[in-house]
Amino acid sequence: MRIYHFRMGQGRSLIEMLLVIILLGFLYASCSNGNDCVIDNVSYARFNFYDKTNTSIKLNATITVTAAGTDSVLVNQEADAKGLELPVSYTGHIDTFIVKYTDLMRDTIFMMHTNIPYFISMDCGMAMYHLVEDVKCTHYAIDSIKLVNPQINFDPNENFKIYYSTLISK
Amino acid sequence: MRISKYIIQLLFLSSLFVVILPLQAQERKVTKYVPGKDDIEKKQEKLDLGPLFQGISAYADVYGLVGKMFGNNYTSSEFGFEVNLKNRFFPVFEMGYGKSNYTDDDNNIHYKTSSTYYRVGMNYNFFYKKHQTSYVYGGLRYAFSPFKYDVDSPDLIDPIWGDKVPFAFNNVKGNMSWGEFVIGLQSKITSILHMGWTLRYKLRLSTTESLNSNPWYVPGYGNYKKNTFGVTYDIVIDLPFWKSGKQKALRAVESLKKEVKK
Repeated sequence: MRIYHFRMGQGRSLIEMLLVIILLGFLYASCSNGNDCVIDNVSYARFNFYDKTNTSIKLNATITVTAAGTDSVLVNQEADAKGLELPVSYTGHIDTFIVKYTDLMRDTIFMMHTNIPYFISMDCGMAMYHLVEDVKCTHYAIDSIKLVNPQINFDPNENFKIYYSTLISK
Repeated sequence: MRISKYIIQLLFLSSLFVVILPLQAQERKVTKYVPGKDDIEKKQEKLDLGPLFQGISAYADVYGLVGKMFGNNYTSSEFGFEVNLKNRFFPVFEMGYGKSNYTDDDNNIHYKTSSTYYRVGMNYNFFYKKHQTSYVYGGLRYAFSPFKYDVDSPDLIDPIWGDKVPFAFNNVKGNMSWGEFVIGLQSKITSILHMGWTLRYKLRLSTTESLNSNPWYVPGYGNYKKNTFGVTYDIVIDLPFWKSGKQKALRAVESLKKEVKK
């Protein structure tokens, strides 16, 4: 009988331990399931600057970026820029960004894209994502531009690499 | 000659006695064998585990129907069957219907869906040896839901260029499969009626997302997250062909006990 009681007690404590472990697992899982929303629900095209050797650089100029078709200034006189984050048109197919380095020097970037309206969730709402089809630019300061990732959404991934000549790179 | 014939017959008959009598004695030994306590304990152990098939139960969830009162933005109703194997393993099949027709007050997004969902899995009775009226069990499920949904919202407004984009998508197809870890408690109310609840931790396994949206509510799963919780409150009924195997085993043990008393 003693052995029987011992076994029963041991079995019960094992089951209780198992239940506690499972419940703790549930609690951990529920805590790590956060609802992270982007504040302004705007997805940006991300450009980073490189020199010809594919090394990340800061520009030796104060840049201002505007977009054709709007009066908005997207980037206003930013110094030591390592890259750009530019909004994309919700309805347009080609966005034209003008990057002004000095009064006399500017480059234009042409970005061809499709627009993807997207329902994220009830809490986070709606957003506009984009898929880049092609990119072109003028070559006053820019040596070349390369499409790295065509998907423009809330992921903080680099979409374009802009290669500059040594003229305005630090 | 006659006398010698009688002698031969006598010898033959006597030889038969030599062979048959010990056999009869052996048979008597077998028939007189009385089962001891060991035999009863073995039978009792068998009874504890019972026969392999011990019945089928049907159950229905009532929590899903009243879940709106507890803050859910959806309702669901489901039923299932479980097969009792040795009072220890319970293979289950569950089928349900979930629907949601919800408009968010803050951003005026409207979401509508309704679909069936299916689950298969197994429960494990932690107290299978005890044959108690209440028992605690754990279980696993694989669940699947093919569904369609509508989602619409006020126009999207471009913050830079100022354009408006209407947003309304109807009959968006989705498929989702998920796993469930179940903990449950079931109590006997009458001989065939049980009631109990389950707490379910649901883990998304695979999903097909649309180009333009995530689903928000998935029938059977709940809100579309990597993992979520669910609760059911079940009313369980044992189906009529229950008990046959168990009662046979009970009768066997009782007859053994009577033999020991004799």
